Amino acid sequence: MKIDKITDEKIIILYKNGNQEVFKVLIDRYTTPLYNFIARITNKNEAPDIVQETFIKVWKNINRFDSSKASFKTWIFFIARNVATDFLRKKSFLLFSDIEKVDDETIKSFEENISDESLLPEKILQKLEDSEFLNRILEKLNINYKEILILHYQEELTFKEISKILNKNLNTVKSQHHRAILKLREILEG
Amino acid sequence: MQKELKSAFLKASYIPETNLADNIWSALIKRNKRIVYLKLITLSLMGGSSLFGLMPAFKILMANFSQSGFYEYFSLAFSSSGTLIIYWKDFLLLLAESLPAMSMILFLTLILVFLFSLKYITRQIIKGQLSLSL
Repeated sequence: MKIDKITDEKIIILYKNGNQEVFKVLIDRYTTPLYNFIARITNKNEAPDIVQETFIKVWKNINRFDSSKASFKTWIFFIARNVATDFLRKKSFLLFSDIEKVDDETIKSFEENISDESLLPEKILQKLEDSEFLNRILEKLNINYKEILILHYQEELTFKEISKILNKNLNTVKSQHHRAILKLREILEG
Repeated sequence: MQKELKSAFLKASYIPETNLADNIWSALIKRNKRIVYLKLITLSLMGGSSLFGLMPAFKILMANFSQSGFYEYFSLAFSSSGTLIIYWKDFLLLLAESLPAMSMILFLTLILVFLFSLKYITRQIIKGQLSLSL
């Protein structure tokens, strides 16, 4: 069986059994997704260092990984997010309140009772096809919203997985996703 | 909407420089080598010192054994075994009390440190210095 097709969890078993070279497969597999995620929440210049720091943490803690609790992808993004958050705090780009701010608004009544499908009409969606334009829009979004959109639409993670990565309640994540889409619409229409 | 958003987001993904993964791998190996070398040096020094200290510690231990009266008590086990069967609890207690605890701890610690260092150094030599595990 080709090593590229082996699941992350099997790779970790191989690694724990002494095949240390397989760790490189995990690095090859996750460098780009992690870079993309981290570059969005920090910046492109610092992202390579943060990705590297993430892998060092993963390597040091790999024996603690428990596949029954979460998938490796969820676990590595959880670590990446923590490393990025620590970086932002150290550089004072982020205040504790920035992270909590949206949490406080959480599950208020569902003013968001409108279905997701009708949130972004066809005309607006067409605008987003321009990558440069979408990147500029994402820059304007709050970090909490950005994280959810990137993890859901780029990494194709479920809300449950995202809630584990962000250490938030599932309903909070759903609510914030809804708000993120509303905000996206607001910016696009503005 | 989900499908369109996914495709738009995927198209807009940031791509890192091509050699980032290789750089990370090299950095990990370099870091590990540094840790392994540091551990090797520290443990070699510790192993060497403990080996060097074993002989004096052994001499101290032997001297303490003779001073504590342990041998005399112990010889009772062979000379008056009948009495010993009756008072075996007291005898064991007496024997334990006469043990030179501090010098025994010192000697055993030195042995353990030496064996631990030897084990680590041998393992690293067998595996080679490029091993990734700590």
